[in-house]
Amino acid sequence: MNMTYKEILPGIKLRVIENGRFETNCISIQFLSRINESVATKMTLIPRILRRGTAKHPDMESLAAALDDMYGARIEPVSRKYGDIMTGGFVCDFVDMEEKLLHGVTKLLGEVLFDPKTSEGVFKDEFVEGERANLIDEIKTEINNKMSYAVRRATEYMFDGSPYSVNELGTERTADAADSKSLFKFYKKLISECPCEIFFCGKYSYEEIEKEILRIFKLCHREKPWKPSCEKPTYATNRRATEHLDIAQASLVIGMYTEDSDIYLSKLLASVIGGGTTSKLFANVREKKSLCYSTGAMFDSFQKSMFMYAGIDPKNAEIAEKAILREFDKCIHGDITDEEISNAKKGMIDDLLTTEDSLYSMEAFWLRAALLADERPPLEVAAAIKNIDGARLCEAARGFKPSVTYLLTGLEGAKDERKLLPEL
Amino acid sequence: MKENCYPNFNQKMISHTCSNGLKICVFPKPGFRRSYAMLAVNYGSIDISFQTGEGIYTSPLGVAHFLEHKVFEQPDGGNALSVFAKTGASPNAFTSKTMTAYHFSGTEKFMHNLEILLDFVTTPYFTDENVAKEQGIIGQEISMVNDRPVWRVYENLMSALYSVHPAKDSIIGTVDSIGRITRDVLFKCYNTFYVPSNMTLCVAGDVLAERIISAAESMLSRDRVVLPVRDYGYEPPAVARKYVEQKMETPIPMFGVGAKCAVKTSGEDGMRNRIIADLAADVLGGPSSPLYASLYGKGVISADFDSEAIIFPGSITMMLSGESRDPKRVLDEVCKSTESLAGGVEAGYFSRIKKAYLGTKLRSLDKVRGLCHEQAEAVFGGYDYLDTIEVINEIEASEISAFIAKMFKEESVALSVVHGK
Repeated sequence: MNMTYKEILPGIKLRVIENGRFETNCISIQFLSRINESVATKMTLIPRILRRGTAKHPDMESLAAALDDMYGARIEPVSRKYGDIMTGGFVCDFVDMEEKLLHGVTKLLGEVLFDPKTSEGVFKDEFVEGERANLIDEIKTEINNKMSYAVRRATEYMFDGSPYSVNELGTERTADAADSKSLFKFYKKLISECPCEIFFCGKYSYEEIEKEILRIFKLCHREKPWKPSCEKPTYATNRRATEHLDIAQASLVIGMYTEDSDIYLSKLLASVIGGGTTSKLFANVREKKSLCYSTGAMFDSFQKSMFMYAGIDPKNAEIAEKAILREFDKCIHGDITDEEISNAKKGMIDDLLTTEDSLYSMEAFWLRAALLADERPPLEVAAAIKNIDGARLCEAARGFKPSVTYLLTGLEGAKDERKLLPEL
Repeated sequence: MKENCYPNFNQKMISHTCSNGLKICVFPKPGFRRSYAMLAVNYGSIDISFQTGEGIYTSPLGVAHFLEHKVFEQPDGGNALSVFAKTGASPNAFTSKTMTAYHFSGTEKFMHNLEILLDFVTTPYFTDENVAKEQGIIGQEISMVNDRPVWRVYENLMSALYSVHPAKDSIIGTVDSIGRITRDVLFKCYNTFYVPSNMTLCVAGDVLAERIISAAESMLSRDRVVLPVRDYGYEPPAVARKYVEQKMETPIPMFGVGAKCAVKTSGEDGMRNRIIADLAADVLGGPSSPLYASLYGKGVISADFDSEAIIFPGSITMMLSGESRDPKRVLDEVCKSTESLAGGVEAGYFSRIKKAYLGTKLRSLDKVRGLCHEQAEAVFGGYDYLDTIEVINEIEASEISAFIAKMFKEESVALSVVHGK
């Protein structure tokens, strides 16, 4: 595997991994911006609006037809949040058949990015209104997945008011406020000033990819970009919140934070606590105590936060909270077996090593690496994890401070018959 | 041992059927770090009634899924999950309406991990205590999935479409039905279905097929067991209910439009019917379809609209699902579209859909888990997955029209809606 990473235009970095093992080729173009609620909404909406139609392919049907003709090539709008940075753009993949499709696919991608269907110099109202309505529905329906909703609410409580608390979709209010004019203005700024990370992995050489990317970026005038860097988050301490819905299962989330800069050490700790089927939470809270079906822990490298969670019977909330904290306390007091450490390490290292078996895992790994300014390849990270011992894990656990305990539970005990969703 | 080469897409499959009836399929993936293995059992939630030498037996709902949980437990009091963890492998399992599968992936000690897989799946250990413990855990899983509107839409649609066939019942069972599952019930179903001739082992990775075959031959029972006759009952062509709705915590209504028809799903004809069903789902409601463009463009559906074919033995269900504030309008538009497509599918449009479908299939070769899952489904359907890719180009537009006409008869269509409270 041969990787090249270069700045090819001001603020535009191209990473090419030449790899002939896959049938598929993958291109990702992601613009970066600091996050606030309005930016989150715009970064989510803009790729979706661009995907509705271009000057040459003015509606979804004609775009879909062009993609179908290239053996179902895909150009998918993607937006993601990393700490206080938001990324927005497209992930594209295609399979070469009798003919090489790189030129055709990048040409269409260039059209989607830089030559959108417009009306009176801005995005077409019909596209904006449709995507805005869809986004508002998407924000509303986040509640349908109770555990991820609970983790999001816990994040909002933990980073109350700071950019880190912002939902990656923005809010219904910011979506309501987004119109064709403001979105087009932001879009122009995004493509001319914002940093951009481009990734390719597949059967083409760096030179072939650079040539195509430079060709499509000719359509865009670049000004001096700003440099992305994550600002230090601020955290709530010892905050508790309970919210009620008409649901059968409660979701309990306990959030903590650390200031330790060794993110892989914290990730390993989260893995020991709740990373898999041999973790402390799975083995003790689920298997021994039968308190839940789903339980786990996850560490966010950008937020430096750890969330431990369990889906439980509402009447067991107090017992489950104590049981989860007991497992965390065991780590503080060094009650971590060599086997637990070894299992967690092996699981993490296995995940890292197999990054190279998936185009999409590689895309996500290297985008995160760029934002974290940590250019170590998966193998090198795996080697660093191998060297972590129990004493360091114990020290890492001591560095975590309690921030928020959040419970999404049933209506029993709620003051209101229906629901209580306090605004932050 | 047989080697099937597919030079058109640079993938081969090595297969072997053991004397005990187990079919082993290996997809070599040179250069891949991760190897993946799936031991699948042709036993899903619909297999509740079956005839053995002792007569007809009907189990409580949810036994296949319950077994999936319990099979990991070992006679020494340990759990196979912990054994896998020592090598860094990621094990898991799933149960569908038609299949139970145990799988792992890992970067090292593949043969050791394979032996763990073969050993734990063939070493049942059920006690009154561990069954009682699992009832609590699965009870929580039932609460979790029943709080998900998307799950309720699907299960309610199945209960509306089918009046006799056990596809109408939930995969996971109910709190009441799992309360009736005992150690004896588990052993009865395990001993009936967890036999090599009712299983397949599918592997993808940088592995040696000979070693895999040798391990499976030496570790599994050599006896070829007579399989039970499954009884799904006679399903009438008409749906049980045209409309089913449920109110729960969801801000936007979710819907599933479904249709069913009896059709051969095994053997070469079955394989062709499955491809036709997949293509019909794309032609009717795929991302390039006029139906999708129209409904999405008018804001009637959101981007998560999905159109798919669901295969049961002897029956195919089509489901178009998503979110909409006006599910009945979606149903009307689907019916109009099926009427039109039943009259003919435009050749240029169908040619594009086939090209895109072929691209999707080729992309699937890069995903080891998906590849093994597809092959396991194919083995139980009596064909090989990679053969489907070769057949795509032979399918005619007229076959799609005929399929849609047969599937979307007025009496065989139902709508499931989950509304907010």
